[in-house]
Amino acid sequence: MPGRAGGPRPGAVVAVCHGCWHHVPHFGALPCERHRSPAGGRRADLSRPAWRAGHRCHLPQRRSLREMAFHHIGQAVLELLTLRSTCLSLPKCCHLHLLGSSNSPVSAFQLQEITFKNYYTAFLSIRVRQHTSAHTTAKWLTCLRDYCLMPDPHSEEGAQEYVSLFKHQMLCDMARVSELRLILRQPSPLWLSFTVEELQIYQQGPKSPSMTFPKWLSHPVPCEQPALLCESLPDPSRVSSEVQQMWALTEMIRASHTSARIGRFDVDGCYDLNLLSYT
Amino acid sequence: MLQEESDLSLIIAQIVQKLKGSNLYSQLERQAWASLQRPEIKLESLKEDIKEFFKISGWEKKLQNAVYGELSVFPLPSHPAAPPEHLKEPLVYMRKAQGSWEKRILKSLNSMCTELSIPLARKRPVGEQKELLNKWNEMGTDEPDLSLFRPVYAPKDFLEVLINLRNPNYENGDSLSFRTHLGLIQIPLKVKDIPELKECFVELGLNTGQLGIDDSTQVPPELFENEHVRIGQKVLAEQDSAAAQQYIRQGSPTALRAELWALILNISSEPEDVLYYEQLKTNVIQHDLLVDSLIYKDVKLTASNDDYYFVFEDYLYQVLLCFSRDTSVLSHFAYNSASPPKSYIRGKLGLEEYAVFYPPNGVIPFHGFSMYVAPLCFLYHEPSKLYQIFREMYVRFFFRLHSISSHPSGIVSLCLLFETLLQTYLPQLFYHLREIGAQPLRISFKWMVRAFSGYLATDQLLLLWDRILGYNSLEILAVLAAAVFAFRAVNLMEVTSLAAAEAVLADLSTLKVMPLLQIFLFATVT
Repeated sequence: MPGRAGGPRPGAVVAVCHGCWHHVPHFGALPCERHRSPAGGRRADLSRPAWRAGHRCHLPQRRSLREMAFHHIGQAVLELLTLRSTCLSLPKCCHLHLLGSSNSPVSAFQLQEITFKNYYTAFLSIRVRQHTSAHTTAKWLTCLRDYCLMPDPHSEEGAQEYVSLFKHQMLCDMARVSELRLILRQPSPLWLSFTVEELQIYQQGPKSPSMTFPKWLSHPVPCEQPALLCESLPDPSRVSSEVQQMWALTEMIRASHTSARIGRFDVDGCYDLNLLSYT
Repeated sequence: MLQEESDLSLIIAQIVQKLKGSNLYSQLERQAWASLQRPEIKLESLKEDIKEFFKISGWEKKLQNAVYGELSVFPLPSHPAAPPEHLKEPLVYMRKAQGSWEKRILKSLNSMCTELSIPLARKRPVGEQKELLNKWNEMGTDEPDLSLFRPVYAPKDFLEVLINLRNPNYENGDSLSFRTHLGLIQIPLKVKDIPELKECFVELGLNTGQLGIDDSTQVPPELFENEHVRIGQKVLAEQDSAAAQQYIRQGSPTALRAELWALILNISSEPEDVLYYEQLKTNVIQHDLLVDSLIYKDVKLTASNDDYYFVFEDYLYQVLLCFSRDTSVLSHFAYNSASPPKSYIRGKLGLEEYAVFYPPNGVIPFHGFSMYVAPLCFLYHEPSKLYQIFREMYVRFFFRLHSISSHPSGIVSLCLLFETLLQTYLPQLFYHLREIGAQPLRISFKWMVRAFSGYLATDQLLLLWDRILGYNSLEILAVLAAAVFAFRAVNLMEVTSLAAAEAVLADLSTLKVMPLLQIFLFATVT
């Protein structure tokens, strides 16, 4: 079926996006939802036999995996499939598909925030599949529909902006997510390619940069005092409380740090320069 | 909703952080301490009472002005994941272009140093220091031999860089297609069209009174001018910079302009500001920089030759030399796509603790730089005040006119706005000029880079800069450039070469800015 309909050569895998034919040479189907039967234009269901056989495929290079860091999804190994359109004259769309690999399935997680850097994507939709009880195939749910990333797709505005999407912006409940699919669209023919970069997915709220310090510092445990210490050593609990106080002081000083400048440009009274440095 | 709230708290945190280092903060603290002696301050309602005291004593207004100033200068905090360079310029290829442009400037400065075998900076011997101190107020009388120095670059060179700017992700086919920009700028930035401009500059509309139009001799002053002046005095009495900014959109009366601009830019001449200026002066006297010669050369080439400005030559040296020593200017590089050049103290190459910025303010002057200062000399006669106003104007506006960025007030956007306006509203003229090889931008670029300083008559220029301050935007420059072309369209349609077109537009000193802008924006039927 995919090889037919006049366009691409037999054997090549074809994905159809928004009514235009895209020839995607290296894509093999982990069956993509957007594939449609060429004749009817109807969406092919994932469970249909036509799509099950013989179309498992992998990206030849894990290019996108290198670019994108997945954080905070525990042990899960995420695999990413990119369906990049090469057709430039018509409205374009591409998918990023995040899911657990077959040997280590992603434990379902509660999605809190998605952060990424846009690269010329105009609209973003997100679909998720939630983990349900075994034996039943979970349905794909749309949790974000055509979120506008570039107010004017023909101009640079928003083209390389950082974007965060939060749980409360989503249309459906984001608990127990097991698979995630980003559908990127760019209707403007002006851009050669579009994608999202530096994709990060957070389970809980973004980690605050609070520092962690050893437990003994915050909770000195008196019972652990070894009895055999010689007398000259100071009492550890007292030391730790003092250290805590000092730490609190330095933190206060750091917090009250101001942006005032000292207007000096010379180093120890010397400002003799010969040439500018290129680095 | 959550997003907006957290954004707001981020902005507040950023402003608090900025203001904590300021003089105002310590003043407020001192006032608060002093107020404890007052009978109306009660211990049980301390916070409220002190707030009330600030309100009555006028300190609240000062704080308000400071916050307002910060808001109009600093960009809103960007996304927490964004690196600092993203704040300077969000588009990666623009950052790269700016970087390689800077490298070219550095190379040319370095080669000038080697050719002339002079150092970038050196300490002045004591005798020389004394000599300079004695002639501080008449530096213009000095005639050093500057024939070997040349400006590092001129607007023309910069235009070539902007013309060659390309987005690597943009489909520029070789053949002419609907995507090809017919103008020189090939970057698809978002620029405003006339309806958006009309909305933005609504106070320039036909139904609003304007200084520069409604104060002409034919119009009786009772109709608009008298009332406008009265309101202006009220605004000044209130000392509210937001109100002043709104007021100045209709133009500022000549007598009030100096004070209004200072209020908008939040400049108060406190004794410590004078002290700061004196400190900069000492720095000028102690160190001799190569940049000084470039400044001398530039003043001699531009302002000293100008009928309006040659009298201010001495002022210009005083301001510009001090400006080059001012390290507080460096903070504007947080939101400027440019980066200050670096150097190492002699003999300490590569040691990070001996790395310094050169010049100390990080700004390398180019041909025409002194024209940013010259018009201000008409308003301020006290060098320290003149200096502060110029510095604030620079870090708010002028830096955008010579760095490559996608900001709506940046020079790339201005060029594109100018070309788009001309193409949309005078397509025949644009086509004609393009056909004869006189791309309009080649003529108008120098006007915009200098913010029209040196091209318009001074009163007209100040009326124009009123609007820059009032709208906190440089877009009006591009609109005016397009309006000038529209005004001279008939003559331009007859020319057959770039030189002839330049001759038609050589003298702008007779133009009246406000009528041109008003007609172009609001009275052109399209």
